[in-house]
Amino acid sequence: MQRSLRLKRELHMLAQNPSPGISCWQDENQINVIHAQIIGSDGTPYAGGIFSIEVSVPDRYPFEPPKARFMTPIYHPNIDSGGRICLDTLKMPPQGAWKPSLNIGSILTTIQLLMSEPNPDDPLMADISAEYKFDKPMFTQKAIEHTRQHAFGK
Amino acid sequence: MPIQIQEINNSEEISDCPLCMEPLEVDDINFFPCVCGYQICRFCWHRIRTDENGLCPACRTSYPEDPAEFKPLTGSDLQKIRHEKRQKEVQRRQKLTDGRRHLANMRVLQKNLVFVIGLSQRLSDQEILKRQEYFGKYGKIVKVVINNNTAYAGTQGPSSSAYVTYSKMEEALRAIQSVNNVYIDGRTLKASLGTTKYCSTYLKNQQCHKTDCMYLHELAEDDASFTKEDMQAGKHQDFEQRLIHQLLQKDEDAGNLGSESISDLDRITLSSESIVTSTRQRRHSGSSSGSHQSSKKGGTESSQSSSSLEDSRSMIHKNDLKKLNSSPPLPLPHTQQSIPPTTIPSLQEPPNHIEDSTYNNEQSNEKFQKDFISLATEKLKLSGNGVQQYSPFQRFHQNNGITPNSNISDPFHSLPTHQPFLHNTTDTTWLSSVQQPQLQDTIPIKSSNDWEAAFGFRNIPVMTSQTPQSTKQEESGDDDLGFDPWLECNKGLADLIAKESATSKSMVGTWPTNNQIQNASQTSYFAHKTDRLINNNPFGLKSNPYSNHEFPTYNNSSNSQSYLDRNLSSSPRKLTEWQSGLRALLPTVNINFAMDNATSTVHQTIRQPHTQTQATMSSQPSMMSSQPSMMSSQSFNDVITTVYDVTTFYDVKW
Repeated sequence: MQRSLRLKRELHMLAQNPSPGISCWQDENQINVIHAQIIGSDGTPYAGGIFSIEVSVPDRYPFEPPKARFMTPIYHPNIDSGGRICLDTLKMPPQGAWKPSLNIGSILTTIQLLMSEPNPDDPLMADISAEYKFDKPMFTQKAIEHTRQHAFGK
Repeated sequence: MPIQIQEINNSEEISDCPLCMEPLEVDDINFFPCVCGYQICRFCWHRIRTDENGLCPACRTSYPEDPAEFKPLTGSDLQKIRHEKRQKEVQRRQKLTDGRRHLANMRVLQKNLVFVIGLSQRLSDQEILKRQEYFGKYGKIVKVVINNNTAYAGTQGPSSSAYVTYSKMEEALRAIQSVNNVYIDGRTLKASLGTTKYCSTYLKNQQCHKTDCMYLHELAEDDASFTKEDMQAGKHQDFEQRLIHQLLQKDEDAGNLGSESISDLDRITLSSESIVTSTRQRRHSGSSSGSHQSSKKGGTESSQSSSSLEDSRSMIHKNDLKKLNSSPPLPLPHTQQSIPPTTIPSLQEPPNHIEDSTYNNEQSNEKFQKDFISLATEKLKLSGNGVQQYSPFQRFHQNNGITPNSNISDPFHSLPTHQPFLHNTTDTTWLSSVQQPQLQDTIPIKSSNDWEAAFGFRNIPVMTSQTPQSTKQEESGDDDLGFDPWLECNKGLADLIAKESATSKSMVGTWPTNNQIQNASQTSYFAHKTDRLINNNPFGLKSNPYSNHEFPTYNNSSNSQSYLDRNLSSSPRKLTEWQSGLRALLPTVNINFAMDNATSTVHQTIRQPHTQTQATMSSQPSMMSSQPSMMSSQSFNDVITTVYDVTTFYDVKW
């Protein structure tokens, strides 16, 4: 009950003050699923691509973090081929940094930030992380190609 | 690498708990459970401590046993807060009511509301006033409220007043123009735009719970709002006059566009007339333009509108609305310009302004001329639009006017006992045309003129000065086919009536004999004249067309002709009588129209070789297609067969 009320409010707030480059809407059939799209920021390999993200909100939200997953394949050290995101705010303490005072909008903003600032020190994809660390031009080229292949025009 | 997280602190919505998004209670306002100052409601605080991990949602330190900062409100504080709240609410409401207080004395003129005083007891009934013969004629009536307690009585005893709400302003103004100062049942009606005031609930800024509240619930425009002083100064009447003037101006403008583009307002008048006398419209058009085979819609419209104009002109005298005088008959000038001068050399320019009621004759002259003109003008065509323009009313009659065939003779049998006002609206027109002789004394004769005029029906003075030659022209020369299918059709119908009337004594007695007598002595005349006479009595008022008016017919020397024969060959005039009789027998307008069409098509095939111009004939199919439903009637088929026979015969003879 708390979840649905809070979700409603959060979506309202997001509709009122959308963050730049982020849009989100509730799933038509599932009340606890939110679809979001993040546009890759300029100056990153993901620039121009549109990345779909599915956020599912658990029952105990906001005391449990929402689960976010990339639906669009992305070439990123912290995001695996299945779209799972390695992000501390998406995990419960003590490992993670989720706090009930955060919300969906802040999570999406965090993900957007993670895309422009990968964190190779806490890698999910070791080879990409290594590439990012030691052969950045190669990584950039591959990421651009990957983005063009998957995140364009969908 | 730690990622900076932007915490969304909705400082502007400080009254909401950030976790559950519920508004903070009064008690929660000063409740800060954590040293970090992150404020949540006590409900969420309790929940985190009991069900969750007991950590502050923001800083992740565990909550202390007691809230870090909590100053419970004292009773006085609470009261203060509540008082402030209430104060605010009161102030807000006060503002609204203050703004509306001055409205209490305002009266607002309702542009679609007609206020009538002087209604007799007989008329003071919602349903009666709503009828097509009365106020229903001028437009769609939304509501009628009758006030029986009016002190306005005069010498005639108690009378009532009524508020008639129309759907449109134009309809209301039309009604006022026509009804004001009309004399009926020994009383003069006074009509004006009605005023209303603001609903008391609106003034108090409350919800009005009356379902059909007549008072205002929203701010009206300034122009239409009047204080009592304004009303006494007659300002609201000025406003009303202004509206009427605008309406007339609009009419004029529309009329100037062309003879065929009669303004919507005019159409309202026309059509409302045609509602009342459903048959009249058709009969009229049939006999004026239809009698010249090229049944041009333009001609129909112009003649029709001329009649309405005449009506309104007659009202002008009564209302002393000088402004009305300045509005000439709209389509007339155009129609006249299109007259071939050689065809009608004797025609005079009809006067545009009729100032005096002594012009009545001239009015009818003018009207006649216009009809004549309309038939003479070849370029006016019957357009599909023109036909459809009347379709709502046709439909109206399809719905209402049709009675089962078994009831055909009903109007005649019920004649003597029927009071026209007791009829259903649908039947009244039919019956009234038939009932006229019996109904003469039901209403004071004196009042009938006014009343008829008010509702658009006037006695048409007899035309006397029409030369046989011109009539012949009308009959044969000017139109395309050289004969009138409308009349042919009538003849057929007449035949049918003759057959049917054999079963009905009353009919046989009155109709044909009257006509025969009249016909013998009359000069040629135009069919629609009588037509109007017959029709102009929706209330079943006095004028009996058979006794009051001449029935000029063709100069037909063969008095020895058989009865049917005489009818066939003699007069269009007679035929319209027959037609009206037939209509009474077959009370559907559509039957008539269809027969007209059918006959014309029949003639189209028959007369093709003789016809010089077929241009107007092209309009016939469209007319026909607009009336597809008529073909269904069984009796209609019989009629058609008869008509065909008769017309064939007529052609041969011709």
